[in-house]
Amino acid sequence: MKIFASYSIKGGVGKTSLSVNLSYAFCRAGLQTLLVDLDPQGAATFYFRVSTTEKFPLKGDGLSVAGLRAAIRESDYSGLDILPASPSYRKFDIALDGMRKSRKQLRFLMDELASDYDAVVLDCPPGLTLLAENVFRASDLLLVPVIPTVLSGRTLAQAYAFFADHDLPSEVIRPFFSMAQSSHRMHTDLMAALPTQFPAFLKTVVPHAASVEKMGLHRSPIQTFDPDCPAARAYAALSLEVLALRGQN
Amino acid sequence: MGGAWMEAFGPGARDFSAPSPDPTMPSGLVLSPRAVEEFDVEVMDTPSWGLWGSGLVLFRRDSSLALQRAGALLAEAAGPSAGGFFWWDLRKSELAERLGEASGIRKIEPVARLRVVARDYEVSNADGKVVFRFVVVCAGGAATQRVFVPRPLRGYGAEAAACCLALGGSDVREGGLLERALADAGVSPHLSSGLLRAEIGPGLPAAEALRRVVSPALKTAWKNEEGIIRDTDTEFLHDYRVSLRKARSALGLLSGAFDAAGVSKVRDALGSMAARTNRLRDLDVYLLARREHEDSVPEVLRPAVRGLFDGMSEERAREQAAVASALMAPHHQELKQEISALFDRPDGLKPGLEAEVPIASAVSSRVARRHRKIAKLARELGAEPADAQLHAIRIQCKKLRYLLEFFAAAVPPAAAILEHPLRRLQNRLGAFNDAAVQREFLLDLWQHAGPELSNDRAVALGTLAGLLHAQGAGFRAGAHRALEALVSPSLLKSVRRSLPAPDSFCP
Repeated sequence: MKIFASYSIKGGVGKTSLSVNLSYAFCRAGLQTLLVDLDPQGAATFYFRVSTTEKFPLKGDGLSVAGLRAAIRESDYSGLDILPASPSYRKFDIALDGMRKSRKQLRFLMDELASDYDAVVLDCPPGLTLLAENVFRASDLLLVPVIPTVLSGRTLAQAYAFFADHDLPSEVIRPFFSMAQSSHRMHTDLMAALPTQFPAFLKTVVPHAASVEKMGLHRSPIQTFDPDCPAARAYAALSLEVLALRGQN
Repeated sequence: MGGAWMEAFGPGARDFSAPSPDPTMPSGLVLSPRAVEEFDVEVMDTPSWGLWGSGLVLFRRDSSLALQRAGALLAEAAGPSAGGFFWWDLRKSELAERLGEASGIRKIEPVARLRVVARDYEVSNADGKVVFRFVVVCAGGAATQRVFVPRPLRGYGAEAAACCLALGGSDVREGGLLERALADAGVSPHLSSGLLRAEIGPGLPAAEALRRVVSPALKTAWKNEEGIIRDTDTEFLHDYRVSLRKARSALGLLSGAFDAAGVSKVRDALGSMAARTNRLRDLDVYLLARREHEDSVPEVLRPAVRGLFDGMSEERAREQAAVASALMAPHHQELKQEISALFDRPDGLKPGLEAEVPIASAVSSRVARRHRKIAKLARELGAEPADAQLHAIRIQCKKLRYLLEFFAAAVPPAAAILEHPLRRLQNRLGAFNDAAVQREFLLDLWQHAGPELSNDRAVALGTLAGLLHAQGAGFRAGAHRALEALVSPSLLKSVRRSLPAPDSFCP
């Protein structure tokens, strides 16, 4: 089982779009996939028409895998399950803080699911919290959508700095350009500059597309209703690129 | 080829008893019909339903074969799109291997053709999320034979339960969809152990008991004739010969139940019918073991052995045509009807002196006598028994086994005591006899071949005959040990004690 996190310190960069479309692409590729919606907003959960869970199974001495399994919902797509978002996530950090080995609880939880799934995609909320550190320690790849703007570049640098400060393996961080516009001068300039500063950038660029916003109307992955649009093709290419990185293609 | 339609034939299916094809769903849930698939499948089996008897069902859809057990797909493979086949005609695969275990040397043929209609449905909640799926499957065309296969989605158990309730949802009725569809197609799987066990109480008069044994044996023999004529597989001839032999033996074993002259005429006729097929059966036995024989000789002799078998194959084709022609001949058909008529009703044959003797009395004295006779023959065996002596014991054993098989219900304790030791000895004597017959067959070929027999074929014949001789010697040793067990003083005593006194059933 491989764990892919869709993460950024910054909000509104396309994390949820990545999680939804990457999960869908994985299941279409034949991988038994679980999408874990860790964001209390529950956007990924909404996109798959799944209801948020009433309570997330948080316990005093560790996260409960039995409760987690019970909360999993099968999506409309064969091979793709969803662990829906929960309002309880607001208390996630507090709950984790009270646990032993509080930085590795998510990893322990994911290990319990290793026999059930080939791939897990974590849709993470923004921020540098204790939950984020759990995500860093649990993930095989940290996929970071970066809008080619100065602020996005800055938050990417903050993520690398956090990894360095906490002795985390920075090679798991794989940024890629998201919502990129080739007609936008600043975007093209930064798309040339940032990869020189951060060489781990993935090749695939996900363009800005109105179809991505329409996912909210269709409540389904972009590949299901507009498979030939550039963004849909980019997500498909991105899934192949990350699978190849982990030797799973 | 696998899919929900196949699961419809398994225990996971539920009876679809909703009042309409598109039933009303529980409140808040919306039903959406999806794809409909309609196709024909053939159910394939051996003439003796060997697959069915092993809990297997083989489906053929065009040239795809799918083997299932209890609705679960076991294996798939490509196969011929029409007609029957033997398992060894298929390419090596798991499916071929499983078929080999269950069908043996019997041909696998279509036994029924079913029209299957599979309709997919989805049920969604108010958010448009699919919460339950199911497939309604109809096989054989009749509306009463609809079942549905639930496809619950993880995390939506409550919705699945509510939907199943709305669809009917009870476990599938006894027999299942396949049995009902087959019945609708006029097909009924019939399993036979090969044993002849008529309903015979200990007090039944011997003549009536004998009639109840001979009549079904004859029916079985006649039923196999079609397979022999079509040359479906070699087992039709085997079963035909066994049935004739059983009918003939029963008449001989209970001589006295019917008038001797009438019995003698029938036995002669049945003997002639069986004898007409002797050569064909010998060739079948040899050709069935063709690969085994080819593999048993050195590489250098294999072309010569292949040549021998090719010659046998050609002879078999001629012999089969001759047997088929004899079976279709009008006088054979008339003879069959005449013989059948004698046993179809109680007064067909003139009664004999023992006609009214209770069957238990008649059989118990014969069982004791046969058992003692085998013991006597065993005592006469020297350190190196002759083939003829073992042959004589084999014949007596066969008669004893037939007595116990036909009339087990009349002498149940003796039948139970003797069953295993007798079967063990018969298996060994049978193997010894088969090796001897095959060896003689080869030597006969050699003696009648004349000067045109090439050197390499002569060597091949000699090698095979030598191997069979050695094989026979091995079986002989095993037979000797099994014989000692059958005629041990303790077993003789147990059998004697288990048999009722000769007059205990006299009215």
